[in-house]
Order: sequence, then C-alpha cells, then structure tokens
Amino acid sequence: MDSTSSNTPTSTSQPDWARIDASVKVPVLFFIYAAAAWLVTASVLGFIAAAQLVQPAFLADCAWTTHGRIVPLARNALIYGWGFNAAFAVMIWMVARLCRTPAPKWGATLVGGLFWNAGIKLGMAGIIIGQSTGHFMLEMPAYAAAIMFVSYGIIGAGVTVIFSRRREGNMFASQWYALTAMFWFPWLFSIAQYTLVFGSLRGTSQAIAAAWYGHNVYALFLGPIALGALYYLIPKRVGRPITQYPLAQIGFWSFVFFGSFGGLATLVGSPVPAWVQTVGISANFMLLIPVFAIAINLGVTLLSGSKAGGSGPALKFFKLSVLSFVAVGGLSVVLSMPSLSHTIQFTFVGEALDQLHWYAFASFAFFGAIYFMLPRLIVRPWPSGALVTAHFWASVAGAIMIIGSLVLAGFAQGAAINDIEGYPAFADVVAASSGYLVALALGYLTLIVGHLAFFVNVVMAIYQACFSKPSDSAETVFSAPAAMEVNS
Amino acid sequence: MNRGPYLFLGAFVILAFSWTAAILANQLGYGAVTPYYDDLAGQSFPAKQPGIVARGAQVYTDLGCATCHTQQVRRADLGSDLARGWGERASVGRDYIQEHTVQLGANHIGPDLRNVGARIEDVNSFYQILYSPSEDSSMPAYRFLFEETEITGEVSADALSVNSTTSHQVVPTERARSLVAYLAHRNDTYAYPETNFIPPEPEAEEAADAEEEGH
Repeated sequence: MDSTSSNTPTSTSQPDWARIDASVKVPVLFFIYAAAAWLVTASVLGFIAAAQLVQPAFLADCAWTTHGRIVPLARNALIYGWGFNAAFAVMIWMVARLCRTPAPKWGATLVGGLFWNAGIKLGMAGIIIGQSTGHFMLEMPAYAAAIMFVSYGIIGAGVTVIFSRRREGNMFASQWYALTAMFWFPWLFSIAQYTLVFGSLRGTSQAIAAAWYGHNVYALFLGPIALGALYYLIPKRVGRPITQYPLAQIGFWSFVFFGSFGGLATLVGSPVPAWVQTVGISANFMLLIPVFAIAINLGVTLLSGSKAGGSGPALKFFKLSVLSFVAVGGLSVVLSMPSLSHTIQFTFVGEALDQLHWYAFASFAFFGAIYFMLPRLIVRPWPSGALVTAHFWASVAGAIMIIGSLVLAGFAQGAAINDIEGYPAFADVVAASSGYLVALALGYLTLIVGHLAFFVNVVMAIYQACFSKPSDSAETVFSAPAAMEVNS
Repeated sequence: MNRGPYLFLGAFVILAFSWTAAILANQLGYGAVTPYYDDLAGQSFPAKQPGIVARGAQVYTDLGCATCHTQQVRRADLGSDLARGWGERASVGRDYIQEHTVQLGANHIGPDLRNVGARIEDVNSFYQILYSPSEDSSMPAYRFLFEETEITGEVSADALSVNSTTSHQVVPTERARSLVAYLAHRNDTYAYPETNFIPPEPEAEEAADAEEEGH
C-alpha cells in the first residue's frame, strides 16, 4: 500500500489518516449501526416471506402481515435500510480519505442520517397499513419518499463539501464511482417519483419506468459504491496496486452506461415495445465488457496479491464479492438466451439474480469495507473474532442456500408451467418447486444468525468506542492493518 | 479523467441519455396511445373502469397481489400463457391505458390474472377462493376481507356457503366486493387492430430470427 505509482489510492506523502478518520467517525459509525440493524430486520422479514411460501397460512390472518406486504417490506429494508446506510458509511469515509482532507465539523450529516432512517420507517409503516404505491422498489408512499429525498440531499451535501476541500487533485477510480453515484441517485429517485408516484405516465410506460429505476438503484448507486470500495480497499488490503489500471476507466464508463439500460431486460415478452426489450438484452450482453475489465482490475489484483495480504474477513468478503460480480454478469447474459429465458421468465430466477446483485456482490463488498474501516474509526480491533467468523460463514452459507434454492425453484417452476401435459393444474406447478422453497426459508434462518452476529459485534464495538479508552495509538493501528480487522 | 467537471459532465450525459431513451422516448411514442373508437360498437376500448373496479385495483395494489400474480399474457412463442388458457390473445400496451397503477407482476407463483374474469364467471367463486383457497394452493386465505355477522332476518344475498353456524354468516367486506369486482373485470377480449396481427407460424428459420432480435 506504500506503492508510489499513481494507480494506487495512496500517494507518497501520507496524510494524517487518523485525523481524517476521526473527523467522519460519528456519522459513519451511525450509518454502520443503522445498516446492521436494518440488515437483521431485512433477514427476519425475508424469512417470514419465505416461510409463507412454504406454509401459506403463516401470519396470513392479518392484512398487515400478508405475503404481498411482507415481500416489499423485506426488499425495502434490505435496499434502503441496509444498502443505503452501508453505502453512506462507505461513501463518506472513502471520499474523505481519497480527498485527503478531514471532514469539516458539520452535524447536519448525522441529522440527515436520522431523517433518512425515520423516512424508511415511516414508509414501511405505510406499506404495512396498505398505502403501498404498487411500483417495484418505490412501494413506500410519497410522504416517506419526500423525507428520504430531503435527508439524502443533506447527506449528499456533506460529501460534496468534503470533495470541494480536497487536497488531492488526482481522482482515483473509487472517487469516480462514489461521486457519480452520489449525484445519480437523487436524480433517479426524483424522476421515478415524479413519473410513477405522482403519476404522469400511463399504461405500461409505468412498467418501463419502474424496471429502469429499480435496476438503476443497483447499477447507478449501490453497484458503483460497492465497486468504489473494492477499488479502494483491495489494493490496500493486498498491498499491491490495481493490475492494468487503465482498464478501470473503460470499466467505469461502460458499466454505468450499459448498466443503466440493464433493467429493461426484465420486460421481455411484456406488453411494451419490442425495441425496449431488445435494448435491455443488448445492454446485458454489452455489460460483459465492464465485467471483463473490472474482473482483470480487481480479480487479478486479488489473485496476485493474496499471499502478501494474508487473510482476514475483509479480504474474504472482497474475494466473494468480486466472484459474485463476475457470476452475475455472466449469468445475466446466459439467462437471456431465448431457450433459457422462455423457461425462467416470471419465475424465482429473477429474484435469484436480484439477490446476486444486492447481496452476494454489493452487500459482501460493504461487509468487507465495514470490517476494514470500523476498527480504524474506533482505533481498536473488532470486539469478537468468533462473531466475525460466525457472520462470515453464515452469510456465505445463507447466500448460497438462498440463491441456489431460488434458481432451482425457478427452473422447476418454469419447466412445469411450460409443460401443460405433465402439470395441467396450477397446483401441480406449485408442488414442483415447493421443496426448494424449504431450503430458501432455511437460508434466511442462516442469514438471521449471521446478521445478528454482525449486529452484536457492531454494537459492542461502538459501545467500547464510547465508554472505554483505546488500547493503542493510531500509529500502531496503521502499521499493522491486517491485525486490526479482528481481535485474534 | 482526473478533473471533476469532466466526470460530472459524463455522469450527466449518461443519465440524461438513459432517461431520454428509456422513459421519454417511450412516453412520447407509445405512451400517447389512445383508446380505440369502434364505429360499429359505438364506444371506445378499453372502456373506462367503473368506480368499484378502480377501488378494487387499489385493494389489489395494497395487498401486493402482484407479488405472486402477473397480469400480462405473452405471445405463444414466448411461453405457455395462451396454451394454459390465461387469455385469448397476447396482451398489448393499449389494454392498460385506463389503469391508474399498472400491475404487470414478475413471478408466476400463482396463475396469471389478466383474463381471470373470463375464466371465472361466478363472482361467488372469487369469494370462495379468497376465503378458503383449495388445500394444494400456495395462496393464503384472505379471511380479513370477510366478516362474520349475526343473521338478522334473512341470510345475506352474498353470504358465503361455508360452515358457519345457523346464527352467523360470513359476508364479504366492502374491500372484498371491490376486489372481486376488479377481478371479474379482468377480461381483455376486444381485438384491437394491433392484436389482429397473427405472428407467422413459427417456421424454424423465422422463429430463430425473432429470437435473435430478442422478441
């Protein structure tokens, strides 16, 4: 990490990292705490939804907990609760470090964060009592969205102030991703709210706008911030510069350009213009370019430096995150092939791809980033190594179970639907996939265990930071970064 | 690419292009599709939804029915929708233009409901399915859409034929009535000019071409 070449995020003159970290400590710790709490909530809701697929009578007697409300609740808790809070934490910390400047004292970021989370709670309460807007990823009613929009503006303003004070003119790849994502989301969100919730679009134009927005929350916000974290932290963690750094620029522009159309591929066969569907499929195919470029940048760096970097939870999560990124890029293309897409369209496979994007790629990158940055913020190691291990293995096992069972259930379901002679009644179709859905529910139970371990560890770490003195000085911390990830 | 302004200019261009192509172009083009006036029938199709149907659409939306049910019938070469009797023809964009919130759905956990009103003609069957779905169905019972009331005088006309006592009856709530009115209204049978287009019988070569184009 002390390389002097320009393709690492670190220049020769070391700024005062400890001072920069301390300047963003309060809001970043708050966002990490809120993210972890939402993650537990999301996995509990995910478990309820999966259990209802196995046992429809489960919590079915009350309108508030009907399956059709639990599913959007779980998705909103995962995306806006966990995903965005984790992204805010990573974004603020990473931008301050890459701009080599301590954040000014500005309490408003914390206020923005509190209101962001209050907005989600209000919006989820709205879904529970039956005020869902009915649009994918925009289910929260308009009053909650307005609060989220304003509080996002406050959080974004804080990051912009840090950026405007930057002492380093050279912008590293992570900054491209983090800063453009910060700029894109409010635009996306306001377009989607205006066109869908306030209703200026008619007919299936709504479906196009919802598919476009829903995918772009990943392709233009969560995905770029996760990639930014990987570009920043993988070289730091393995002690090597990014391999073939010039490819990063191709990777960045092609990822965001083609990614912004990727959501249209979910509309194949829908009553929308044929060119919309074609653009979506072509975009997914063209996404192989950035996947290839980014895989060389990150994957080869990881492989070539894996011995130097040792192990540790951050690195393990980064490896799986990069692997999932490549896997989802390849799978999106393979599953667009007509022979396969005729089977798996409108099945659980769509949700499996979403979980690969949101969980196995983006969330794993955020996990790794949090394992790296939290010890540096509180200047002491993680309280419990056992909880870190439990979190890692439960997350990996849970992700494999969930995504695997969704793919298998989807193929069984799709094949049964298309085989009318073998499965004449719809109940037969249901029976074809029901076995895999048990594995789905078990996968969510595993995730609950892992996420609880993570949450407890985060709470203990923040508690220690507030109520006990640090054991070591900052210098000791930065001389041995690997040791800081876990209390071994 | 080390200067902020270029980065933000590029970011602006990408989102503006994506928005123009995906949202604006569609809205200007087929978003302007109007109802089709049929001279012979003397009315427009799709017809405006009656009020109770529009209220039922809200119930459908707020209960999240679209989580498990689609409302879109695909062409015969893209899936078994038509063969399963989910419609007489594939859905077209014009079918949806009178709907406030289009609920296409994305997963066939249950059957497609776009033409369920044509398949199930007796509204009491809808109430029966909502109150107690068949045992092998993966749909929960929506008991909260019904209320058990004491029988005063005659049994209510739309009381469900379920095992209730002689003194009590199960009747649908207002929300259930709206929802069922909405479901019974799911019936796209009108043939628009664009639906009279019959795709050529999928001879091997043409089918392959269509697939390559991503249809």
